[in-house]
Amino acid sequence: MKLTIDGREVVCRDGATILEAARGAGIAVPSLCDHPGLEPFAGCRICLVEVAGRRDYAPACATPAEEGQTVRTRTPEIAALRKKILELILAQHPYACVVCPEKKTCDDLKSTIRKTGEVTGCVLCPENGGCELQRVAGEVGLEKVDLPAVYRNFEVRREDPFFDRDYNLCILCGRCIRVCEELRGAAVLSFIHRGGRTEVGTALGRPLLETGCQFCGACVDVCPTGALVERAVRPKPAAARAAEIVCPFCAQGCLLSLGVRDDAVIDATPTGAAPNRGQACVKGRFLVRGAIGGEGRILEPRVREDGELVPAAFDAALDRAVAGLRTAAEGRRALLFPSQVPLEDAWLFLEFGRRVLEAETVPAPAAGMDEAIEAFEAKYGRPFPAERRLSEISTCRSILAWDVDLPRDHPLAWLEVVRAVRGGAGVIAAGKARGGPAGTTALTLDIGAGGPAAAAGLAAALLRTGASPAAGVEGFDELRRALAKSGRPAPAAGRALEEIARALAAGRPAALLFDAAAVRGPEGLETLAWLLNIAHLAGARLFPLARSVNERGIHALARALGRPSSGADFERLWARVRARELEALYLAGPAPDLGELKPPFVVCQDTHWTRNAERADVVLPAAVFAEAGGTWVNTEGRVRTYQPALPCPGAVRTDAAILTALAERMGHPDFGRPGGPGAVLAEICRRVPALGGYRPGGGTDEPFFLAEPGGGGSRFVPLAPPARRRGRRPAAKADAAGLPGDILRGFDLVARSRGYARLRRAR
Amino acid sequence: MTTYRAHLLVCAGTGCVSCGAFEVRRTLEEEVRRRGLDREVLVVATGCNGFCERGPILLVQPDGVFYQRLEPADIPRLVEEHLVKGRPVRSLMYVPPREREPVPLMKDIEFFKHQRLIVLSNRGRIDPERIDDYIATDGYAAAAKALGEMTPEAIVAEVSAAGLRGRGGAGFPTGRKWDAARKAAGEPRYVVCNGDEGDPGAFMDRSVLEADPHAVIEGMIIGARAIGAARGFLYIRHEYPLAIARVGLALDQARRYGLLGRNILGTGFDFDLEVVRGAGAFVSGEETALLASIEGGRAYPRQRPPYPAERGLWGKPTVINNVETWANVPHIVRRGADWFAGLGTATSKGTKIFSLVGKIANTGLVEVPMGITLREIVYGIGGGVPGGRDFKAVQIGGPSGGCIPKSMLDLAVDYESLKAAGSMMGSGGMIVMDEDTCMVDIALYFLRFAEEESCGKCSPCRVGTGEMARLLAKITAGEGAAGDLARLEDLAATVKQGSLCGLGQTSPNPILTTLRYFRDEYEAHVFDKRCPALVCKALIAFAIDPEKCVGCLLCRKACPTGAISGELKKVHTIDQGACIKCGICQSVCPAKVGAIGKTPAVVGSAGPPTASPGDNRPKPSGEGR
Repeated sequence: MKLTIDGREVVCRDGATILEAARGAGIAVPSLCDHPGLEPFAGCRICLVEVAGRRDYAPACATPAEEGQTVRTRTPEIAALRKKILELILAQHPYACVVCPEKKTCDDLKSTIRKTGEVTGCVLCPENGGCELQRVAGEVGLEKVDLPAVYRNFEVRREDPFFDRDYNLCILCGRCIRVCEELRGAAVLSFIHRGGRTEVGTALGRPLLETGCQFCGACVDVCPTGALVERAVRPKPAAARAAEIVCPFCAQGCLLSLGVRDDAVIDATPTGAAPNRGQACVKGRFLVRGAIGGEGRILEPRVREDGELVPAAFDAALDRAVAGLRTAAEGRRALLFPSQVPLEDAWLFLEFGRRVLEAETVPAPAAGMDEAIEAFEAKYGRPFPAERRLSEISTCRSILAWDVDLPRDHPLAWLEVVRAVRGGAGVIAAGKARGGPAGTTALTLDIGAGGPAAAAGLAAALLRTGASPAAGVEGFDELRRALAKSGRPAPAAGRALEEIARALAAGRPAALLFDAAAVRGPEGLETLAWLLNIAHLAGARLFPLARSVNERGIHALARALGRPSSGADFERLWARVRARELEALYLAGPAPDLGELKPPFVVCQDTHWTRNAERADVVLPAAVFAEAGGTWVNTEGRVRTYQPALPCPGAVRTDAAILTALAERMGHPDFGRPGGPGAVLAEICRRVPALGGYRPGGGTDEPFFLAEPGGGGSRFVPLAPPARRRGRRPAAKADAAGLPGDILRGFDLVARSRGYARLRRAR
Repeated sequence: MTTYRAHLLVCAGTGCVSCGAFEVRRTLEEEVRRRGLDREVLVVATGCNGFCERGPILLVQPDGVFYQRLEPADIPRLVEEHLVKGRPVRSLMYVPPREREPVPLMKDIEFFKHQRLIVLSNRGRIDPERIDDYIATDGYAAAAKALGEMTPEAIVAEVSAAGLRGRGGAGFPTGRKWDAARKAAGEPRYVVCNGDEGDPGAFMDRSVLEADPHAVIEGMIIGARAIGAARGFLYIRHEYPLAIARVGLALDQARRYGLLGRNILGTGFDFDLEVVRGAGAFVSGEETALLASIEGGRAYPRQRPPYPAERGLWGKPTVINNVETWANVPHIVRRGADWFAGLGTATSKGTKIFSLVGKIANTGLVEVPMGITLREIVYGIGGGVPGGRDFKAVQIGGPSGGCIPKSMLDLAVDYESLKAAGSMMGSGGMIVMDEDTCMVDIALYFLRFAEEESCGKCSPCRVGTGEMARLLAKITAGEGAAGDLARLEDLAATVKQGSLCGLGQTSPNPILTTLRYFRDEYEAHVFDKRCPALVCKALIAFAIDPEKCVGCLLCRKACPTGAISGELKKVHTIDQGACIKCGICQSVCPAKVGAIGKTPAVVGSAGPPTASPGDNRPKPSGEGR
């Protein structure tokens, strides 16, 4: 589409706004309330432009560009009007930070820090320097405000974790409200009151903790002023540099930008790139800094002397570790390695365990989802048609969340659900799944104790309501016969279930979302089979979701090395610990408290102090994710490599350095060589077929995805429905190594962050 | 069907109900039964007659005798005299202001004589709670015609040819709106009735909904047919409980009669309506805000275009019209576009309902042909300004409108002329002001209203209305400075050009029109620190005329601050330092004494220069100027 802006011919896509068209052509139009990704609001009125043929000025942000349109963005009238409007906005915002007769001298000489008579004034404002209001005032050319400053005197809300809300600095652009509702589906904020008394607030003025807020921080990120600011960074030092990392807290693999100054992390904010496109969750947004620079880091090696852990030189500690490990008999050594590390380090751990230590080598936490799918394929002899790309969720017309808490455990999948629902999709929430986005209604499916019986019940209801498979799906008759032959009564209360079945089958394609928790336990594979049957009957696509960071990458790696990891491996290892069969345990991954079961010799290589580290005989300080860098695979199979963002603090060394030094002492001088991590990655890509062809930063921005097994299975699994278990589901047993989302190696999010602990309690 | 020799039509509009119409009706029914007249005389509760000033009202048909300000105690005598003996009761009839003889018949009363009833043609005539009454007055004939004989295109063409324009404010041609919605892509479509009447002193829509709910419903059925809507909403503010109740009843009856629901009148057309109640925000009357409210959101307006006709409720084509607009539609369809276009002026067709309030003898609701002059409305129908005061201005169009001065009384009322005068038709509120009204104070009142009712979404309106109100308050407090009027005009221009919706864009109109026609009053406040109308408290003082004071102590006893001193039968004085200018002394001073009056205060001094008796006596207000 072509239009003329300020005398220039501008080309833009259909459906673009005038603002987008202008900015696309490099024509700056100031605006405050507009934000990419949010619906136009047209509230600040700063972006008013002149459109030929229109009587009034049009807000560029909310006016569609039209073919042949003539737009003028910078007439003297508009310039004057923008100044006047900005003056009105600033009348309710302490504006000494924007226009001040002393600004020049102040910037040079810091002559005063209090000019508005309020502590929020100018240089003490955390956003000073990065404030959009200041920037727009510059763009508009505002030099003075001819109105008296009104300080609204709102009490600063400090009762919630992570960020403060100072609505005295709020300009009511509504971005926080819109991002919370439109993108995050939470809608915990709203405008309250009206006219000059309008403010942003929560229902009944409650603390955010009581509103269902997930503390994703999206509101903080879109706030153009200092009204919403992360607490620990007030006043905020300017970051000297930014470094990109992959968020380490779950399998979604959000890209985060670390603001770094003097090798300390100032904050972590989501980058605009895929997969998360500017969004993060509470962990990525607010806990990264604590995981790197917070309390509890292991900063020096220690060895046990006379029952006490005492600091030691690194070489001495390594020698002690080697000595201790060597004394253990063959077959009585084990290595528990963290699966929450980059591929390179995981490969080194596997190699170290197998070749150097010659020990049983088990990852923790285990790759639950891929492991279950592989077991399913082995048991039933057919491929499991899994859809991995999260962006595909938003193209579906109905969503079935099967026993999975999406906003908490799979925030990116949840964003796609919100997008789907805004496009008209309905939500069916089964088990512990939450309903749809705020303000929408969802059908809820009680699955009782869960398991295959519940899934079979829904499949039977789909059959009863006349759902039939798409052409080409085999085994329909067998399934029907199997269901009929079982002669069991309909497993779940009829009408509600059938309504759900109809809704599911009506919105095609449907998306069926689940994670390892839904298919855990001895009947897990049967549940998976029934979910597959449901998918065939309802025309649904199956979205298995990984939970732990890099679990898919490490699973692929371990399989390629001929040693697929399994949750059973961990159980077996722990059984040996309980039976006191082990003589030496190399503990590098998260594990339950050893307590009295501690084997005679334990080396703990970790990032943070844990109970197990305190019991260990040798403690080796390991680098955290941002200090190590490396290659990560998210739940979609998206592969991403980043370089170390920070140097290791104190005596800390990377896992690779520690393992290499140990291997050298144990008679493997070539271990992990030649070259650094790059060579290791090249070796991995050579050995792991799914990674074939991956080259980090290979000159292209095209994302690289793990090669997935092709050929979706299009056959039912004809099973007789199992008996429905009575009663409530057994209390959810935490994974052997805790909830993967809340433990990152030795960093226990709940224990180390009071704010996060409060949030978990509030849920 | 029973035939009665007389119908007693009791007005049951909200105005009359609030002064006891239901009690009057009950007494009437009892009295009629007691006297055994219940087979000859029928008591009917009707919708609002518009002459609310005189409620409760009773019209006796077929005689056409008009009784007013009735009390239950009057009823036995009224029944005895009028219905039994055939002697109308002169003492209960209407006596025009400044006259002594009552006017017995409704048709001879000035208030009714000059009106032209179309939309309100059923007011006072039928029982709005009985659909049969409506049908008996040709009700639903237009719907039958539209559904049975006309194509949607023909309906739109008819409404367009009639020249009907929106009665809610801006006067957009209704036919064009319908045509746009009919042609817009998207299903389903909706029709919406805007009954969120919020202008201070306006009650046209309430009255129509109370008096003739079926007319609105019928109009919406026709509109729905024209654009292909199957669902519609009546958005009515919850402060109108009687209107909501009557509309609800009317919807039930229409459904029972097969006029709503599936297969209406056997034509295969499906349509139904539901009532949505507004929650008390003025901005909900703005069409996009109203739609947001129906959708369940906060009543925030959104930027137009796209207009609701293209993207309205839930993003679908929606026709939203005002109550009065919808009520015009059946008349146009039934009697033809030519008939309707023959009424009114070249650009403004048909009639318009105005609520006539303020300093006017006959407060009430009037329907007049477009093009009638303000003078005819104010003096002809309204009976002029009471209390011997002089007319000063009339505010038309509520907070969005403007004040039109005495010099423009001969202005013909239509969309264009009002706009040219700086005002607007608005929904049709007319507030008459007399010489005791301060125009700066009036502008302040409306700006405070706008500030209070601004939704807060866009910055010019949210902050600008408050800033304008602050400046006006400063001026009325006698603290105006030289640049303040220019600053006011500047702010007004910013808010007018910058605001998102009509509420903000028109909010400066009361300032702009009063500045245009009454600039001298502003200047008197700013430069002379004087309020010519003696309204602004900071600029006036109360003073006792020693020549007139009889020393009765009444004012001294009434003064809440003890500012008045004086002995019995001696002249009293006011301590200006203690006086809070509440005006109680003036109101308790006996009318025949009239010793207390307002006088300009000298700002900065303790009181008027006339504080000591003897020299330069203050004149009670009203005599000067």
